Amino acid sequence: MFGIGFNSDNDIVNEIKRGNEKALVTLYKQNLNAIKKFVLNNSGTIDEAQDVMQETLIAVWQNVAKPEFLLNVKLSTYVFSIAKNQWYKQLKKKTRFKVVDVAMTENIRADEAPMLMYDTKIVSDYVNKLDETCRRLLMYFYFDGLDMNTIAEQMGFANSDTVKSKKYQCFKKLETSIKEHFGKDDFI
Amino acid sequence: MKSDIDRIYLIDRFLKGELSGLTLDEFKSRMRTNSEFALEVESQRAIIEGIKLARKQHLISILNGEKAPGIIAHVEQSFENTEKTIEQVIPNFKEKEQIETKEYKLKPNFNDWYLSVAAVLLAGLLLYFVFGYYIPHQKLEMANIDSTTTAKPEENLATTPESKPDVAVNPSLKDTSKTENDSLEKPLLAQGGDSMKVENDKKLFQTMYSVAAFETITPEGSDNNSNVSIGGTGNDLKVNNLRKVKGSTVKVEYWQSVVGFKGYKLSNTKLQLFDMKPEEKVSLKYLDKQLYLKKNGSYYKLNASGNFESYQKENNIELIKSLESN
Repeated sequence: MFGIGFNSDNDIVNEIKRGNEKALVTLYKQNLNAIKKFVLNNSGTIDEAQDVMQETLIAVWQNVAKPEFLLNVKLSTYVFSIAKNQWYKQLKKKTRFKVVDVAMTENIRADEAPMLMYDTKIVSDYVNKLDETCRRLLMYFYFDGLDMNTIAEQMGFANSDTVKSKKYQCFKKLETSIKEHFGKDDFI
Repeated sequence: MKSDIDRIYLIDRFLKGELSGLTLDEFKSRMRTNSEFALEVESQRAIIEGIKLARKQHLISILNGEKAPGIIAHVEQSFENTEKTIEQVIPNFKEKEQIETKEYKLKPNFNDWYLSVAAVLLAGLLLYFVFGYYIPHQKLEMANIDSTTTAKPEENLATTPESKPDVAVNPSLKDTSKTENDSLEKPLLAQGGDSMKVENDKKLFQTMYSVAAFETITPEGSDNNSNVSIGGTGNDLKVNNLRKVKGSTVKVEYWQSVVGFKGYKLSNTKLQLFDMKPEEKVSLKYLDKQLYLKKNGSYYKLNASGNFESYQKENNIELIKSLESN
């Protein structure tokens, strides 16, 4: 299947569910023109099209990786619909388009985002300093949303319990390094 | 440790929104009553957000064609069937047109550098052959052909009456230089095909002479040959002690030697004269089947050896008298 590329939507979905990042590349190639054209035709720039493309694919990646995800339409249609939503969100953030949709704008509240204890960027730096196994395991679990069995299969662990134990070790290692960095009084 | 694993897993489920009912109520209650537990939940939430950010940045780096440390290599090992690396497939978004070009247009593949080097060397060799050897060689040959076909005698020498040689018997002035092909006119090409051009001997003029011939009369059969008996067929015309016999036609060519050769070359019916100008008065005569050349009152014996020979002045007085007698 991979030898000749992802030929069908199901192929792509299955590979995303396995955490194969090259499926993301295929998605990029397949949807680049349409999304770029859409953004450029709707007052966007090439840089904004790039941002929309990235955010869209990340969102698709996360959604498709969920075990409950079921593709009911063409994958390109699904991707394009997410891209449109992404672009409309960005349009509303732009000052010159701030009176586009009053109703939706009112729903956006600045205090929706929870205050975090640690600076997310610093945490991400410590994540990247982890060994490869821990880094991948934590990313697969927390971002991709892969279940323990899939992670076990993907990373070559014996079973889901092994993954669970390993994931705990990795998390504690990360937590320890972060707490050493910040100190208890440095919590935001 | 088991309890720690379960606790973290429970917090994970809460943060994912997977708890519900009584479990969720108990969890919230514990957060309210246990500040340390609440702090742990918030810490875990912050760490998870950091993990998500790291993953997101990693995926974006893939989309931008950047290789995140460690991850891609492992993924490539995991998916053994994948043919191309991500870096090959996805360059920067802004280079979208180039992506399409890579997919749909054929481009030379310079990854095989040695093939490129071989192609360049081959092309260079071909150019060297064409421009360094073949074309100069062709030009040289063309130049040689031109020099042969255009080596015309000087017109003033060929047409003016003064330039006609003083011949013995009605020289038939036929300029046949254009149709003649003489080996002397061929260039002396340097071996190996180099472009050195060698200057050739130059033919100035040529003409056909009807040369009179005489034969010494032997005493036998004729008691006194002192008188000339004119008559008969003409082939045996007697002049004093000589008789005129049938002459012959000789092709005479005047040559200018590039090396200053002074002499002649005589074959059966062809005489090549070097260092002798067409306008100089010369005459030819056969005496006893020996050809003599007269110039400025002097006779020169011409040997029909077919080789280049120098002029040898005849000093035999009796012979000169015989040549002068008719």
